[in-house]
This record gives sequence, structure tokens and C-alpha cells, in this order.
Amino acid sequence: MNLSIVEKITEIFKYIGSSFLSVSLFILCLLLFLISVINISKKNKYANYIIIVIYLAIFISIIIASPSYFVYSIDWLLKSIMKYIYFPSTGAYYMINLFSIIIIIYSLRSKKISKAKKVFNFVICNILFYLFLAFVVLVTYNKLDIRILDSLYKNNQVLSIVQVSNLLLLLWIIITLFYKLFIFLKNKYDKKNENY
Amino acid sequence: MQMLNQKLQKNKKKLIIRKSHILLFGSFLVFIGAVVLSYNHLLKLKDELFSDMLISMSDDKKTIDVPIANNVSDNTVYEEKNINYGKYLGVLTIPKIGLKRGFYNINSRYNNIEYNVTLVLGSTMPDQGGNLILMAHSGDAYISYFAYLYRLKIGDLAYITYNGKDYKYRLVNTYDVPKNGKVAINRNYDKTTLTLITCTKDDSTKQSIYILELV
Repeated sequence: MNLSIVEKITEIFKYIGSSFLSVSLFILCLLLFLISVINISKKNKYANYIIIVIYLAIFISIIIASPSYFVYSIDWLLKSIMKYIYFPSTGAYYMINLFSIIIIIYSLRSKKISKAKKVFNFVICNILFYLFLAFVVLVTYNKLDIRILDSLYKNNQVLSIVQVSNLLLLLWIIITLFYKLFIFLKNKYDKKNENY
Repeated sequence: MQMLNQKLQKNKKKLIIRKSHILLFGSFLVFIGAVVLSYNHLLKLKDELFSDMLISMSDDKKTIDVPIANNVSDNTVYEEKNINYGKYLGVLTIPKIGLKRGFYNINSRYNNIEYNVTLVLGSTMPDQGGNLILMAHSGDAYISYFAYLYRLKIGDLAYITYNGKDYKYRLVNTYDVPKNGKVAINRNYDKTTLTLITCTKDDSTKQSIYILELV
């Protein structure tokens, strides 16, 4: 189980040479890699499309061949997000607040972000910061051991603070993603039209 | 007049629905649609997660020394899940009340009355003779597995599946005892028996004991 990196790589090479299928798969991936690299300079539009189609076809065929694995993976992802929201670790919570402080500093310094987005960042990050301070105060006053998650989960006030913080962060991520998408679409479509 | 024209042009510019707006709105609708369509599945995942976490947090409650079963109510209707019975030590089936539940080994962390039908300390398995004692809560919560035991009549059947073999039991006696942490089990010591314990229906001060004998 506890192999060194050299041993791990050796195991992989052993697998590559172990059967006709593994050699074929290796050659397929190598070809895709070479075509992608060569096409950087050739800039053939159709080659790009073919590569994308091959990747997607392989991925979709894996989904069709083992749909339960796909469903399991999606469920795992959703459960991990839910676990993070409902049963967070205090370490992750600490990192969120470090992240929110970085966002505040970035928003203060950046000239690229719109005013509305800056205000939105400040609102969310300051609420997160306030909740974090409340969390620290409650943990100190109630003498909770933040390394023992049971003590965190059994205190409704502390748990509510952490869960609401995580929910806010999720909301911030979703809105930011849509904002980035909007900027991308605006640059891609609207600027083209404005030039006419 | 010129000012008015400029204002009108500005307003016109504001009202233009751009391609990016349509695409963004479309993406937002797809996102909302995905959330709405998967809402029930998300709720199911949430229930599973909470159940897993409750079990994982119960490391310090391995066994129940004092059998206390209560009427538990949370007014929630739970959906029956596909259960993998292979993970249990044994399975209790009572066809008359539609009960089929597995139970874990005495030392398992899942052998806890707050989550499962529970194997009581001092039990012996059916292949060894003696008395197998199981208990669970009554009421109308998800964990009220013995909620309908009161419907059983003398002569009704129950089955224990253990080590790939089915053991058939017949109900021979039922009685109530005060809920004080101790239960006297009145059984025929010449026979292999199954004892089921739960809270008495509509009486929070008593527990009901069901004695079944191997047929």
C-alpha cells in the first residue's frame, strides 16, 4: 500500500505492457496527445473537432457501459458538498475565512471588478467574517474542543454558524460563476456585435 | 430637443437584449431546472448523509446494557430503501406485520437502539439454543421497527435468518413489565426462544415482552 513514487510508476509500466488492450489504450492516448501537440502549430479546425469528439465519445461510452459508476461518482460529489455544508470540519472553516479575507483584499485592490460585484463580495465576506468571529467567541466561552467534531455538532449555535457560513460561501461561488460566465459571454458575443 | 433625442437613444441602448443576456438567462434556467429535477434525489442523499453521520458519531455507544425501548415519534414518513441484508449478522422477519429488519453483531457500533433492531447483551444465537433477545423502539419514527408488535397474537410466526439458515418461531406468551431498566424473561428453559422487547403501546411506563419458541 505504502509504495514509493518509483515503485508506483513501475507498477503502471508493468500494467501498460501486460495485455493487448492496455497497449492499445496507451497507443490511443499517445496518438491523441501527439495530434493535439502537432495541431497547436498546424491550427487545423477539423483536427480539433475530431479530438474533442474522440474524447467525448470515449467518456460517454464509459458512462453507457457502467452507468452505476457514473451515478455513484455524481452522488459522491453531491454528498461531499453536502457533507462539507452540514458537517464541516473546523479546519476547513478556518480556511474559508482566510479565503474570504483574501477576497476582501483582492476586491479592494482590483480595478477589473465591477462596483456591483465589489459590493456583493464585501457583503458576503463581511458576513462570513462576522460569523467567524462569533464562532471563535462561542468556542472560547463554551470551552469547546474544535478538534473533536462531536462537540461542534452537538452545539446548535456553533453548528448553525458554521453551516450558514458554508451555505453563504456556496451561494457566493454560484453567483461568482454566473458572473464570470456573463463576462465571458459579453466579451465573446456582445463586443463582436458592437464593432459592426 | 437634442438633449431629448440623446436621452431617448440612451434609453433605447439600455433596453437592447443582448445575446449574452439570453445565454446567461438560459444557463440560469438550466441550473434551476437541474436543481428542481434532482430535488428528491438530493433530499435522499441528505437523509443518507445524516444517517451515516449519526452512526459514525456513535462510537462511544457500542452496546446497550439496560434495555429501554421507547415510543419514538418524529411524524416523518420515510421511504423504504433497498436494503442489503448481507451486511447484517441476522435478519428478523415477521410476515404478519410486514417487518423485515437486520441486526448487527453485539460488538458492532451499529448495534444501537437509536439506529437498528438491537441485539441485547446475553443473547445466544438460534444455532446454540438458549434465548435470542432483540429490542427496538415503538412509535411512528423511522427507527420504530417494533411499532406493530402489539398486533401479534399467540400462535403468530416470526423468522430469524442466521448463517444462511431460517429459524421459525411461534409466539407463545406476551406480558408487560415496568420500564425500570430490568426485564424479567419468563420462558421455557428447555426450548430455544426468541424474545422481542419494545415499549408498550400507549403506556410510556411499561415495556412489552414477546416470547417466541422455535418450531
